[in-house]
Amino acid sequence: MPDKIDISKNIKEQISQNHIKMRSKWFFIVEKLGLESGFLFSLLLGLAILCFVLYIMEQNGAFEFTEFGVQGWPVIFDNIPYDLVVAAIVLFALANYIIKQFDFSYRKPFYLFSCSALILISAVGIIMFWTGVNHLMMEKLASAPIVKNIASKKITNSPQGEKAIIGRIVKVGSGVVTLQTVDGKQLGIVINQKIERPLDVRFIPGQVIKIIGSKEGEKFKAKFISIIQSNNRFIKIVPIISPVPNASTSN
Amino acid sequence: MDIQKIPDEELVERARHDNQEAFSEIVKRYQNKIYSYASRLVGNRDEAEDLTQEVFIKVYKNLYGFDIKRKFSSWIYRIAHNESVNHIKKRSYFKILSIEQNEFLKNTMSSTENLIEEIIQKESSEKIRKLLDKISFKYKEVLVLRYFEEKSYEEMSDILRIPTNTVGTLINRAKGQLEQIVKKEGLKISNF
Repeated sequence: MPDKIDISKNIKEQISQNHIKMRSKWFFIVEKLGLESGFLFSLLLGLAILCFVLYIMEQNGAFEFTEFGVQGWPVIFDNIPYDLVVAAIVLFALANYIIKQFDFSYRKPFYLFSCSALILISAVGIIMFWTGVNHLMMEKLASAPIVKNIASKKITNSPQGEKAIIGRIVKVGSGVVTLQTVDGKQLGIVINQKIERPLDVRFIPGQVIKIIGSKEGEKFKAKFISIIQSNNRFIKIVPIISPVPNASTSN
Repeated sequence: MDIQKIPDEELVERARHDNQEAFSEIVKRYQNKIYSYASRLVGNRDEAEDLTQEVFIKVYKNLYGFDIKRKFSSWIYRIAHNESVNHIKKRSYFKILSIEQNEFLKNTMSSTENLIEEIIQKESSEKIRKLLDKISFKYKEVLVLRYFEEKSYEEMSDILRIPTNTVGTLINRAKGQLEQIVKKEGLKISNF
């Protein structure tokens, strides 16, 4: 078996007979532009979807229940729009796949750069969320045609699931408080001495409260209750029954 | 200027403008290197010759895809590597050894430093090829690039598209696995 070969004549012949053709430089320019656009589009759309996820959870009151600590986590998990989160993850995976097609992606500074970029984006995202900038941006986005359709299905202004409720007190009875929810329904909330609630607080009609508990038939058994403060947006969202009936303030 | 003294990257630039002589020079410079590299990876010289031809066809087609600022040598070896890997996958050729990673890392001795050099100096090509066939493909390719093609870590990083640190790690592991095989089979280097 030869240690050396000579294929130069063969290759030359194939080229001169047009059996092999050089790709135009435009092919590579378009390919590069396509990859860059694909990467940016995937990354930005993924980020936008994540911001939208936070907006939906905020609108549905999921973050209201962080006050309850570990007890509030099931409520938060129930309110995550998982289909949108999966969509964001798929887009990030696509962006990751695309970036690996570039020559610089395996070089050491790239890893450092991408980790730093990830930390920076996360930090900016958190700041945007806590300052309310995310809310303002998403409100505008939610009015865009395609997004509006998704938003109308996902945003109910009410916690999803059967573990949590936000509502306005309509009537206070002995061991039971009647609550008016966002969708206009009335629900009896069973309150007993075992629940956690702020000390020296009395429930009065008109207050908006948030409750963690469980639904039992037509009633809701409360485990944790907290009063929503007057500057909270749910004060405006939860309807007021007019006129508010005179009721006992005892609990 | 004598065409043999023109750098690879300049030859590529000329070949892009239909300079047949420039491309022929590229083929002449690299055909045996690529053939030698491919034959060590796939273990068959006939197949390696076909692969070498495929590599140059791909090089010609994608001349405009090469970044002139980078090293041509790394680029063509990258293409050769990809073609070899694809060929091997199609053939389901390479064997994956069952040696536990912990085992050969634990047993890697500092004395493996000269093992590869000793094998290259003392043994015939055929014996070296047989020995290389016994180790995992990912270790085989780094050993071939480092000790037979004499590529630097940076060049290997460009060819294999892995960080330079990973190249070093793979070489160390490859040496360890090679020594495991030599010990496991009770071989003396001059006898196998």
